[in-house]
Amino acid sequence: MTHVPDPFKEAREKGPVLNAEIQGKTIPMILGLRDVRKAAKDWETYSSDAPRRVPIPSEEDVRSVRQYPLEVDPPDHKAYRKLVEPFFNRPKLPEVQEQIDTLISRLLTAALEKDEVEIVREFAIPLQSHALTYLLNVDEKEAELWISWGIHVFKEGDGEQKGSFMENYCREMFKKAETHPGDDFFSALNQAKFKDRKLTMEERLGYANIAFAGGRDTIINTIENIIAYFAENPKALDCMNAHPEAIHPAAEEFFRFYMPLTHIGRVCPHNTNLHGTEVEAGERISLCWAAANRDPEFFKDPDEVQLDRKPNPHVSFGFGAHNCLGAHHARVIMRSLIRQLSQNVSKIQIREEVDLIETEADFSRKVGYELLRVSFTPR
Amino acid sequence: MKGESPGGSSARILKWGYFAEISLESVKLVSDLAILSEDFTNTGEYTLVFSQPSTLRNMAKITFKQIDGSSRTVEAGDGTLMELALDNGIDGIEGNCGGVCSCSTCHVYIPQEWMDRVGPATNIEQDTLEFSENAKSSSRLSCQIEVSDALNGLVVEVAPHE
Repeated sequence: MTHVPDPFKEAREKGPVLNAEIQGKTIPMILGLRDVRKAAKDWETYSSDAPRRVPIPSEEDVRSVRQYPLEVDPPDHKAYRKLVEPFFNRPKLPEVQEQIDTLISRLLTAALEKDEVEIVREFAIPLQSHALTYLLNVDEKEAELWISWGIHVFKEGDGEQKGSFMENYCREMFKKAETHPGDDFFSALNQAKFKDRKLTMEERLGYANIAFAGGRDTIINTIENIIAYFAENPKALDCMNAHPEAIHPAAEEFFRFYMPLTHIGRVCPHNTNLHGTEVEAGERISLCWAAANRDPEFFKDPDEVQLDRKPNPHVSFGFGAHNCLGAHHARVIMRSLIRQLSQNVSKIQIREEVDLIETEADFSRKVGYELLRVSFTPR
Repeated sequence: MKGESPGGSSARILKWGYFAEISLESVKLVSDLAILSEDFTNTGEYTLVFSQPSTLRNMAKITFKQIDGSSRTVEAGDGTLMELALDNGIDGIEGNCGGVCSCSTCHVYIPQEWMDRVGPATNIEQDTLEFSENAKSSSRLSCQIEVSDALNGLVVEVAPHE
């Protein structure tokens, strides 16, 4: 089912915060859109200066490095972020958009030639991995290894082992780039300067870590959810085909409704009263993007997909200083996917599906698919 | 809009996936403003394209004061102020979210004397702007401003990036 219920509906009606038990600790989750945006802006009260503890659950077991620029507060955050912005802005270049179009066209043509295609492994993961090579400006062959890392580098399979494998791989890539520098992400970070000094290997690994882990499951899940939505709403495919101007708002609505990243953490450096909940210094709170995206004060009929929803002030790319660096990339991919599906496919039939459910003590949410086998009918 | 072949007494107009019945009389009534064309998908459907003939329309001229201080005056067609800026490559207007009021990368300042004609921000827009460091009482998101002849002569200032 493409319908994804809102697990925070009841809690949001009761109050602004849901106290959730996660990893044996109580983490107050902020649920409303206005409150989430306000907290995301207030970095002095809700800090990101917390290596390996910004994601929830925390990633202390699966990585050794602080992620840059995610786990740094202003004002240093800005200087750290600037160093990689040129790469994350690459999807704005027409030539990179063309590469992404060609990649999706290639995958879609292959899928149309088959009776059935398994979207997660044969479409979404290859699409995300190859597209990332364009963003990082590295040899497209590297994607073959990244594909083997699955939906989520840390969560799927042995996260500890996969996490350390990825760190070693990145270390090797930085070393290779030392001896053979180019215009790629690794070479640029080797040469980059933060406050007149070179970056340490730990910092460089921290940038690479989030580049690989951050935009991975989120992009993969969104691709699956869009394809499943069109399978269940074939008229929407015709509508997008007839109205290409509707693709941008439709993409934003998919981002809002299927937000794959439930929430992100912040640490309170001081004792903080969060809407009546006392948070001790050093403890975490959560900015619940998924709940904020269904806030009925801002979204009429929030549990419905309305492809022409305007305005649509969702927070699927976060809010404030840390807003998602990969947002341009995600938008270019999803807009191209919607356009090419609507132009080339008349019908999608789901043959087999296994939901990917995220479960915490207090809620469970469908974020995507573990398996999604479909048949495409050409237009 | 898209509808079925107008052979009977009514036409079915498809908008955003929903069908609405409208009478052929209505189609005739709007035919001055609409062009009926056979649908390209060859399903016997036709497309209704609403477009005012350009000869009847006065093109509004709108000036953008860019962040570097330079000004550019452009002729406005249909759509929003953000789309106009993007079509003309106005520096500082990014419109990352495509115009759905979620990203604030199309933030502009409207001169006081134009505020009435441009209109106020909706609550949702105000709420998005409230969190912008560069927000002023004259702030608007240009994706939420529809261009019309009434805006002829408007000068907007592109807000600096955060």
